[in-house]
Amino acid sequence: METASICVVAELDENGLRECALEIIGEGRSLADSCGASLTVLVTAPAARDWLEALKRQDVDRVVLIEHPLLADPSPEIHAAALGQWLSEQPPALLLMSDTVNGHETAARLAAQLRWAIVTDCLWVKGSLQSGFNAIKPTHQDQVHTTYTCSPGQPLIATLRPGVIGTETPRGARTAEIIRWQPALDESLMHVRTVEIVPGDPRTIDLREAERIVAGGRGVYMAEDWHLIEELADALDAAVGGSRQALDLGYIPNERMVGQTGKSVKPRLYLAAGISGASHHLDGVNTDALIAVNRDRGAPIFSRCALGVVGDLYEILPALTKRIRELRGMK
Amino acid sequence: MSLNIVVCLKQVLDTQLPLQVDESGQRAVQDAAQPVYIINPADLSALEAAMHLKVRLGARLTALTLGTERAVDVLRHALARGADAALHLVSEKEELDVWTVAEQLSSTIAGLKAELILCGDSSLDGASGLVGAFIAEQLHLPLVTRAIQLELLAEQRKLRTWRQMERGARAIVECPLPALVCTSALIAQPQYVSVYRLQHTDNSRIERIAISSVKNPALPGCTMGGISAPRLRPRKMPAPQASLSAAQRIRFLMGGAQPAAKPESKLVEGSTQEAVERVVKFLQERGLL
Repeated sequence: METASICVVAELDENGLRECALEIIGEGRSLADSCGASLTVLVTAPAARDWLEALKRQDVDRVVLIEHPLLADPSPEIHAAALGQWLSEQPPALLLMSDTVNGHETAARLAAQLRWAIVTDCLWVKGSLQSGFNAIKPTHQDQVHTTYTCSPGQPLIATLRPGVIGTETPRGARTAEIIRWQPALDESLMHVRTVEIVPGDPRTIDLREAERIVAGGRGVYMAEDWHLIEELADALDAAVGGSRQALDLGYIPNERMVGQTGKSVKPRLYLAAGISGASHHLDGVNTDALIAVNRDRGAPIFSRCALGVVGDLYEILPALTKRIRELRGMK
Repeated sequence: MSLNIVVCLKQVLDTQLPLQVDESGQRAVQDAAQPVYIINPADLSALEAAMHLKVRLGARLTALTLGTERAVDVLRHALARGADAALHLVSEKEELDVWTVAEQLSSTIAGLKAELILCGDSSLDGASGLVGAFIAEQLHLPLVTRAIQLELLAEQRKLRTWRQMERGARAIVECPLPALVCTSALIAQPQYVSVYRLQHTDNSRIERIAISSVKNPALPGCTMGGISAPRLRPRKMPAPQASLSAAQRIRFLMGGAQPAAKPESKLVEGSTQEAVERVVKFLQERGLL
């Protein structure tokens, strides 16, 4: 092996690279820079898709695409088997993974198979190739932090808690080399099979995780009218959010408030009805598809939205709800 | 068919009480004269889930723990809750590393001829969430983690499990028996056990096996370097664009560093009908409808 390497396993979902994957790629990059190691990203997938382009734009030296039709099953067993085949041939000094539900299980399976040291759910990984790595993780229900030390020369798997590190803009200074590799997998390796994935109920999930949000504000005059927002959210399978005004008026509970003092959300769709769009609110909204419904043509939200509707939400929302329900064949 | 179920239980410090780092910097201790220990909540839920299976299908339930003399309390509880047998692997040392624990537990479980092994997902104290996976690997058993609901298809010797995923999603998976399942603490709500039952649990029903707490040098692993008070990690965020004014850059950082690029705005003014159609078209174009 040329230079010692740091490997990162990037997790995918139906929309491509997950944010936690970008986080650990960034973390891997800074560790690799400080150690003088190369950074390799491993991806397991049935076939390459548009996320490969996104991966190339990250500051990585090598992308190893582990392709096999059986990897279409999201269950960690087969992914761990595929990763294990590659890693046992080319062991890195450090392997970073995301401590998501599947990431955790995959990491645990890999450690058990390869008999490598592992620290899960870390906040920090520090160290160098010569002196070995330290991993710091919260224990005792986050009341204390425990440091684990791994001696140099033995590979360490560290899973990092998602959402803690944050992402930076990649510098784009490197062009990644892409290696496509087909592992030897067959059905006999799969004991646990995915039957179905049932998506979460948008009514109850955390706003930060919501893919679609319908939010309301002062434009809803009375608590009795809040059902307009809720019905539209139901029709769109969206979560309900609100502005500070909606919270103060008692329309929404605290955890449903979006904005600087509430939650920073990143949905694929954000429909704001009766929200003027003060920066306190909109600074917490990061989306390409911001639809605004407001009576006031001069509302600041109209300069930030992708589609603005000037009109009364009391007329537009029920008509929109009805039309969407028709189109989606809901009763 | 009578099913053999083994539940692995761990005794942990109650973390609801405030913890401190002791002088050696190696252990977390309770700020109390008499430390309070509990059964790890995820393990207790696993035991409860096993009890449900026992009631529905009939099963023989063995509770298994590895710990110091003190851990016998865990097994008394398990027996009071309805376990049929209890096994105590007695170690002298307080803290064993995950590899040693998994090795000891799996060699014991191998002799129990279990069809289903339940563990809690992770413990309150060490929180590695690894022991279940390591046992499964050693015993070559199918492994399911984060289980929140179990359905045993006993005739087909199959297990159907609902896994708790992100964004409130559930993954339904199936695997053959025997299998090892790591359960989420949400899988079952532990029932109340009366003091009477606890007092009248027969200690002689608990089988004791002394184990060596010396780590096998062939096992991999890290050494514990110490415990410290928690320190938050600052979150990275994308650098603000240099073209922005200072005030805008501050606002950008305060607002969770959202991109400053504004999407091109299109305004619709007109009848409700027209507005609705435009919104619907917009949603369809973006694949949201």
